[in-house]
Amino acid sequence: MKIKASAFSLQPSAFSSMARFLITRFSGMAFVLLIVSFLTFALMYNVPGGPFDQNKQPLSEAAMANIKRKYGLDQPFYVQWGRYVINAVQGDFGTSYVAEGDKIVTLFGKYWGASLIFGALSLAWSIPLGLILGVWAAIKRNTLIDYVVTLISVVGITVPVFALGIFGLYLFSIRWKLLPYTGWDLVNEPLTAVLPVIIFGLLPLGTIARYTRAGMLEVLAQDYVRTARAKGLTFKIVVLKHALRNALIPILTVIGPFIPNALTGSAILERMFNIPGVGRYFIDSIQARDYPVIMATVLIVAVLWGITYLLTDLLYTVADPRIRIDGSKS
Amino acid sequence: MTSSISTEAANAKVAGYSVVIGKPLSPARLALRRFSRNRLGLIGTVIVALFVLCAILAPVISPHDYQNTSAINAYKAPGESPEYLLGTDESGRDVLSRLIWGARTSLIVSLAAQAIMLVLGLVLGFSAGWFGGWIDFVVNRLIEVFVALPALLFRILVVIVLGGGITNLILAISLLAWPELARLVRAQVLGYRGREFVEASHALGSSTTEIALRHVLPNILNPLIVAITFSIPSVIILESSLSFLGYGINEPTPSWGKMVGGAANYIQSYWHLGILPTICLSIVMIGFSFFGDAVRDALDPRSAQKAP
Repeated sequence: MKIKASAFSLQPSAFSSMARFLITRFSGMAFVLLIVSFLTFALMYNVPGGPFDQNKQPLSEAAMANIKRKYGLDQPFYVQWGRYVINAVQGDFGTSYVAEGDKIVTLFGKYWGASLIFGALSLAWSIPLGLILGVWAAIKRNTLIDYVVTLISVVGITVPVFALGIFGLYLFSIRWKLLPYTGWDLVNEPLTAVLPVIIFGLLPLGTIARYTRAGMLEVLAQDYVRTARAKGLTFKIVVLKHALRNALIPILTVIGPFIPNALTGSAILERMFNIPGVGRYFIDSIQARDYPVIMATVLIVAVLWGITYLLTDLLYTVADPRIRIDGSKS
Repeated sequence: MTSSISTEAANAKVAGYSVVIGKPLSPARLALRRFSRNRLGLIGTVIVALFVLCAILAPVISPHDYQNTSAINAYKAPGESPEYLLGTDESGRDVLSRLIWGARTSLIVSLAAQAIMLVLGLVLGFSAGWFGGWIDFVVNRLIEVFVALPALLFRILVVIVLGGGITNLILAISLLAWPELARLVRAQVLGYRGREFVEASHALGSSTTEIALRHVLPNILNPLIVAITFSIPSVIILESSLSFLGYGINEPTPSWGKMVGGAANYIQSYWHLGILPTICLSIVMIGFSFFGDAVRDALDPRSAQKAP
């Protein structure tokens, strides 16, 4: 990879611009996280009834005051928020109210596993297949293959995930009885994963296929592609080495956001298919008003997004050395 | 650009037609012509039009009241009784009527949320692009914050704090969805700020509001219309997803998402309760997608060649 080497050859000026870029981005991210934590905190603070609702567990006034003191809920809003931020910076996200005494970090380890596997499996098939279908449709423009790929893209992009989930469940599990009806057991019953993983991958598949097709069509019309063909290179080499490499750059920005999205699970699909992941856990936590879990989830998702945008921008400079890190194009 | 005068000849180049020299056509006529040549776009238009008609005429065309319950008529399959064409749900309410009224709910939520997003996006985006400086800085940081929030999860939190129901749902959707429009408006305004016709108007003593409304807005109208045609279906998806999860529209108001969510548990025995609203939603979404593509291609012919 010659391109990679040249993009990161650290001349003094390049290094300082990279350092400045990273410092700006990380301080920006810290600021965003601070505001995000404030907004979330303010919302939770205003949830009617508070975390320990008297309707659910009737307690004496003294016991209530005790609990509130234990979790610092008797303090004014800004003190609670300040404490939380100071602890969070040191890696202490507190303990769950519901699973009493359990550290948030431990709980997350427990639930995130399923979501990570779920998301990773979905991307593992949909990203490569999306690229392949996109390239294929572009080469076979206006043939049946092209139309089928376009149809798959439209359905994957436009139809909401719960609708796809219900269709899939109805057809494959109930009507044709090909796949098990909900559940998540990769070890004993790997078939349970098939339907949710396919449905979760349809949006990335459709989007990537669509943008790859469009990018390839644009690149294939360029002069250098014609030149490469004219000098006698085979069509395969031109498509894979010349065209795809150049079409890939805009596709990177399309793929980027799918990664944090997939790895944080899908609240809807996890609920629909009974997957014990972080998305379902978050909704359960909201229902149980488990504040520390809600806070931690929101912050972790925000961090993941920030890192993704940063990496996408960096990847851009690797894929296209003309793009400089400060955003200008030389 | 709206000010350019196009002729049939210019049009011929766009559409790849044989050259006919004749009367100049207005850009709007040209756009309409490009639109009417798009077959998928016309299919999309028909679907969207039917959806809007259903929504508007819901009180007239729905055969039953959407909230009339009757225990004897519960769980009728489609076609089982001529009175209930598409069957009835768990409380004996007519599914067809609820589907028609569900279109109305979707349309109300999406238009209202869109209006709020548009006001926020226009005001914030315009101020950021026009005034620059600290206003631009603050708006940009705000956009970053709202983009970083986990959209669906945070909206659930908002709905819980504000309570369910149509108004709060509209707020939960729109208050978090404006950054995209603001970004678009900001970028467009930045492009026009230094242009001669804007500076000339400024020199003639026009106020900022006047310049914004008379000179900048008409020029950014096309990208704005395109953004809105794509944003409406995404709001419908949000509404139905939140309602599906139980954090959206409250009973008894019908919503497609809520119908699916409520029926998910009976899908093994009563498929129609979950599948029929899903079909409606999918068709409308695909219709909006074709419609939006055609609108974009008609309003911005340059993007038509490279857009996916």
